[in-house]
Amino acid sequence: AREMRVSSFEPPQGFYSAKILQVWIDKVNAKLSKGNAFKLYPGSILGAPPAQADLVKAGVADVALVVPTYTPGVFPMTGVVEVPGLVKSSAQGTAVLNALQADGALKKEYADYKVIALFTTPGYRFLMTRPGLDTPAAMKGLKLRSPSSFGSTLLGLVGASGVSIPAPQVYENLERGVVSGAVWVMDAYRTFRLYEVAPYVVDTRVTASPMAILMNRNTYNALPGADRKVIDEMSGKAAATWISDVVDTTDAAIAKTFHENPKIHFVTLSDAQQTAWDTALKGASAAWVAAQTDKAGARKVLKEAEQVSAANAPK
Amino acid sequence: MGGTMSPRDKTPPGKTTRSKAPRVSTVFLAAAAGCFMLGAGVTVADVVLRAVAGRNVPAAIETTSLLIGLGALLSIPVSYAMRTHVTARLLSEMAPGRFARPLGRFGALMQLLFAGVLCAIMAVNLWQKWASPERTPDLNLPMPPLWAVVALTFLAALVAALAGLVLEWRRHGHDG
Amino acid sequence: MGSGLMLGGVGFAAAIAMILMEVPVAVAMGLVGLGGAALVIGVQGAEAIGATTVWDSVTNYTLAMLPLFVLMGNLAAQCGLSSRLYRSMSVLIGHRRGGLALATIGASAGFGMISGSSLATTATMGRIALPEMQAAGYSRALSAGSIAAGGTLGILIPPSTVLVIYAFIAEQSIRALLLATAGPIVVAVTLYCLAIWIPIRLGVSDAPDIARAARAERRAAVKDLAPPVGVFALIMGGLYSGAFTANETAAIGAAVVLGYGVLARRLSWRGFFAASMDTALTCGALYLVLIGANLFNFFLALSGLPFALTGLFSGILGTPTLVILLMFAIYLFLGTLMDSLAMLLLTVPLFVPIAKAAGIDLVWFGVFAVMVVEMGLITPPVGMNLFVLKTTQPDIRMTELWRGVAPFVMADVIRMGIVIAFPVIVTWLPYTAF
Ligand code: NA
Ligand code: NA
Repeated sequence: AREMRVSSFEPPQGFYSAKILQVWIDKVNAKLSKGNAFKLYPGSILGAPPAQADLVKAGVADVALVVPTYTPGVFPMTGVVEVPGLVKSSAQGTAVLNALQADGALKKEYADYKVIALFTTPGYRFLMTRPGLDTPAAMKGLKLRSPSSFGSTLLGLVGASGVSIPAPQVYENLERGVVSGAVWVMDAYRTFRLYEVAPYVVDTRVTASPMAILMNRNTYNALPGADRKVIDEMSGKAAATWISDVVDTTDAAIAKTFHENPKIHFVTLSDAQQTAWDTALKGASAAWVAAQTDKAGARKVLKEAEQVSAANAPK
Repeated sequence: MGGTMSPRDKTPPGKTTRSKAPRVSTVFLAAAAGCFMLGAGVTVADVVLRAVAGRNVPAAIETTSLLIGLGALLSIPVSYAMRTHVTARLLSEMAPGRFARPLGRFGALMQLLFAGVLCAIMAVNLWQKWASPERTPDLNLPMPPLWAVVALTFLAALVAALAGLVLEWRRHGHDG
Repeated sequence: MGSGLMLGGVGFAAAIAMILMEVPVAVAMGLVGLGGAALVIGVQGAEAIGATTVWDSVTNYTLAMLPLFVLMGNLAAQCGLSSRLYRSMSVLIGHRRGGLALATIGASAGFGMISGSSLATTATMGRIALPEMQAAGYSRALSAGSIAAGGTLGILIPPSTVLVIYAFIAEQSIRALLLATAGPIVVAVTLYCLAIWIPIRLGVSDAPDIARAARAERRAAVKDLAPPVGVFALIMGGLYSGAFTANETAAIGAAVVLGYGVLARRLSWRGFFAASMDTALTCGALYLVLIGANLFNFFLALSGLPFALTGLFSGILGTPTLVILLMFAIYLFLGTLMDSLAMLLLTVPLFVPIAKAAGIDLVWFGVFAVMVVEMGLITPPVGMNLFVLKTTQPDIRMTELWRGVAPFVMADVIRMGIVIAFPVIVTWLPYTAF
């Protein structure tokens, strides 16, 4: 019998801590055998965001929420969901990752883990400090907070430059004009109160981030069969689908409240603007393949991702 | 990393006598200070470029963090060798004759133990992750060589802690 | 859970015992942290913690400004900026008993306006003020005490990294929180001045008696204030006009002071070299303490001790005053050993829901938490501000430091009493003015 640590880099009230991990923990704990239980360690208590994958591997955390792009090179194929056009909603991106996982395309990068769930954020929006920054042409020369290494490559394609800034410092950097905007999700917009300094939301959805909930293999293997079964039922594609549902619903709800807020200005892309973005980012998938060590594998993964994405496009 | 300078020598307040540090330490300190200066330089360049040309130094934050981290690492062995650690000298301040010597030696031993543990941890970390494809997010530098730098500075720190212990053992009972 | 709690308590006691046995603080906390973590999660886990903690501590961008502020302070000392500042102030207000100690509180508050960190404020003021106050005949206890206490203003006065982090954890408006600190800052500065003035009046604190300077000398002193005040104004202007972020201030500050030294021909190669070497030597000790403290905090989190402490609140949620007093007691207990930021990260997520349930205003609570956490910086045995002072001046005695901060700790306790009794001091500005 033991208490298993579930690590989250987000504070306990943060979206993934409260709405995903804690809910998952409560559901699983109710069915585990007596004495075995998961417990949430939120707020980066167990380590900084980029360290989460290592912490699970070493058993410091038994389960952790991992952002694969925080450690470039470690989960290369998972990063395919960052390629523009593949992910507008979490459901779409989650379908892509789980199809790749089912085909064994991601087997190597998660060999050290028991995968609880692979999913993605919704498509990222551009959260801007000034109005009118909604076309690729307007991006020229701008500095924007970039979500990842590949995110900076994308911004480079439209003549902007990506600046990496730790999440808690984005607010101040927007306020001081160090960057003119951030490429991010609505829940960060709310949590970090970015709306106070960046009231223009451009609904570009050109990229998204992969996310993973990973479990330590030894912890999993040491559990009695009945408990492993409980965890199996609460992981894989079913768990990922549940998560992406919550993610998309919450994203829509937050977007709606900001839509109704007269101080926040939402820009939905017109067809012409959408085409302009698509054209500007045409070279992105080639750039993604070029950045991978296994280029043949990357091409294959990209092709499959494109197919699954097309089949799961949101209405 | 030997030397005769004790951090507890009477130093006129604020006046620098630390340049008397032994040669190896001086090299480490100078390298560390150089890193701090470069880190500051990158940040200043970023601010100036932003103000003047509306551009930024690529990966300024990561470069600054790495440079200052390297400076901090390089200054740690010196801190061991010269025993400039923060220590609450309550007992030896009250009764120097009785406590200064045994507690000084105990402290130096514990410091050696800590240096040994950290060095081992860094070595194991490097060994386990030597083949890791991980890179830094902005500069795209491979991580294993960076971990190797960390492991090497902690190896230097271990040697320095040993030197610190020898110094402490040789020191006579008086406490300055 | 129970055994982990026990382990947390034993680890706490072991670290304190080792510190009292004069094991370097970093070593005591680091060894207990790693050893304790190995007991909770195994040797392999402790290894991983050690490796990630060292890497995170040395490459942390927010901590990166510490060496740069230390560098700025050392350069200012070598250029004679700090001696000019203090000599002028000595001429202008030195004839009032304790005048320079009061000026140090004022200067710390001023520095707090460009620095978001208490450690940086203390490190810089330690370099600037400590030698000058002693040169003017102030006792080491009083000079060190006023610098360590003045340093705690660094996180109360905006910009403040700790307050910004609280805002994110508790999901409160950063603007409201910053406005809310105004009242407590006034109370804090006033009480610190009394903490200097009353012991001098009672004859238990040493401050020199200096005759009032002649008029001509005073006029020259005012003129001499121009360079230090000008340099400071330049840095502050850049920060508040938004030209650079709080994190960038340290680099800009060091560059501005260096530029002044070179252009005014007040910095020799020798002085530049000495400032650089001193910075590196101070930072080695400083980073080791940070690594040790992080390892210990990690272990404490794993032990479940802070989680268990929150269990104490279940029966008293109906009485907010009791909740606040209990939190105050817990913070004082944890503050004996923990670093301020770690303490805040660990406790705020646990305490915010409790405070909410007890009907306590969360803007008020944020200011309260920052103030009690900041008290931990000057309370023995582990007070990071005291350690920073000791790294900048190793020959100062721990007992002198503790004696020196005692009146300021009392002032802090009184401040907490005032803010608890009259919460309007905190809430008036954010809620009434905006
Ligand atoms: Na401040
Ligand atoms: Na303390």
